[in-house]
Amino acid sequence: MKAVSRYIGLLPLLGLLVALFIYPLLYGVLLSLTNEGGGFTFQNYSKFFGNPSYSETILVSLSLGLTVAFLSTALGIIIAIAMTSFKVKVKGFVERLILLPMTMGTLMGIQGTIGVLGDTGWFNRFLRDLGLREEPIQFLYTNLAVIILLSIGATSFAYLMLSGILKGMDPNIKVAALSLGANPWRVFWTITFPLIIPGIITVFIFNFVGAFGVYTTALVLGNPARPTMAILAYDLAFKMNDWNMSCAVSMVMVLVETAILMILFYIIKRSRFA
Amino acid sequence: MHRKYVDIKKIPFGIVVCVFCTYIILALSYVVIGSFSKQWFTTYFPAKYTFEWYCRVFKMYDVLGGLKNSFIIGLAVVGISLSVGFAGAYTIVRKRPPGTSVLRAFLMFPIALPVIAYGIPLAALFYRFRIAGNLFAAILAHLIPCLPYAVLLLIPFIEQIPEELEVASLILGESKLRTFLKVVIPLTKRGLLAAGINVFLRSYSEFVLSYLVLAPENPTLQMVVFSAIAGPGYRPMGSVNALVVVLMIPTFALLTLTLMLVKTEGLSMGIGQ
Repeated sequence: MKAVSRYIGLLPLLGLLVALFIYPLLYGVLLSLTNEGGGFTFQNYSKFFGNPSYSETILVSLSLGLTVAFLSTALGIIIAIAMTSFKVKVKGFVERLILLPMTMGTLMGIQGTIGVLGDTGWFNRFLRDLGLREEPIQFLYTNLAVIILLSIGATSFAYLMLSGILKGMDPNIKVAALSLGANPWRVFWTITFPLIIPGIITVFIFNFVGAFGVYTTALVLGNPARPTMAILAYDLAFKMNDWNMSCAVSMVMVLVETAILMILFYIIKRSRFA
Repeated sequence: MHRKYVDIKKIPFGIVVCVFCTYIILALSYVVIGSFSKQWFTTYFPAKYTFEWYCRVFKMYDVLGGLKNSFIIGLAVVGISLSVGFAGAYTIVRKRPPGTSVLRAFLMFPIALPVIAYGIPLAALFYRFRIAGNLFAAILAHLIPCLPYAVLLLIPFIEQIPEELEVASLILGESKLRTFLKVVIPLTKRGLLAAGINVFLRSYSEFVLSYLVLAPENPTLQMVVFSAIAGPGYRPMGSVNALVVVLMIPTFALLTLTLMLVKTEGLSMGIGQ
């Protein structure tokens, strides 16, 4: 009886999560392993891996996820160090500005990117007026625009996490190292970097996950000829009405992401930072 | 001499911060300036300014209908997430049932998995049970990321209440229910408010899940804006920009409120120490 009362408060939470999350995922596995008649088959998966126009989406999503994760983590480290260890004018305002993209929302970011990077946007107009280029640089409808916009939001998140850790660091450690003759570069690699490693890993994983499953940004700003896995899954279900195939793509997404996360965790465990 | 040497090393950092901030300012300015532009073709700034898009935007797009749907879904999700999430978070912190660490790791999954990956099977289920298309389906769908999010947000707030206060109340003869209502709830009021605002914002800005389970005829505000940006057909840029600004108003209002809450946080949390 006592054991039951310890769990009772969790029941509504677990019930809802099982009904709305686990059950649909299992249903997705089931759908992906059946054909339209309801018979058991592996054909959805063999079709996915056999058809290059389908299987290529894995590469698109993976490269998008990894590029954004690397870029945003690096930018986040640089900006966090700049903001915490250098004197910055109007610091409060700059910090608000850096954190803004996280809350700005996808659609606001998309519309702003169209205005800044579009063919007649501010950036291309500026290059033309400087006389650097006659033809505008094509950003929109290439995956470069997607990487730029996703990295902006991801960097914002990276900054939030990393600056929190850096602000909590004891400044005396750095002063001690510097006074003992270490150069700033060495101080960074032997003191700051090991301390922010857990933060860096968290940031990298979250930003990879966010960019890997991207739908809206890639649909509006990305290259239509190189869709992400999420776009393929949506189109299969809602445009071609092939829900079984669409579920197979969704399950491959889950598997690829889980595999990447396992590799990351394995690297963390093997490394000296564990 | 020495000072100059250090300054040169700072320059790359400064450039990165400046480029990053400039992009954000430009993107935001484009939308805001564009929403007031009358004629804007080949110049850096519009030739004429106008307020008319803000009047026309309500006639051109279903702004009020979308706003109503977004708020109904958001408030329902907040209500369910906070009540169910609070019960869950309180049990995790106070009762510490076996397997809690596994449960906390499991709560990350709905937040970390791509929305499309679980949204497609969910939509398939909803279409099969014929609940797709109405707001109830969207509420259920939004609960998947919002519920674990609420639990993870509430746990630190509950951890901050000293358990002695609850024990004292029980020893002095109060019932469990009255202790909960008179001691636990007042001490977590701010946490509930902060979590509520965050969950609402998450639901309000959720686009893909609504898009998967709702009909285009009964959209949320995010869906209205998405079809204005990406849908087929031509729309004046000024009207789309004004629509995006309207979409952002509730977000900024609630964010300002959260910032004000965080500033006064220290006062209420002082009791715990």
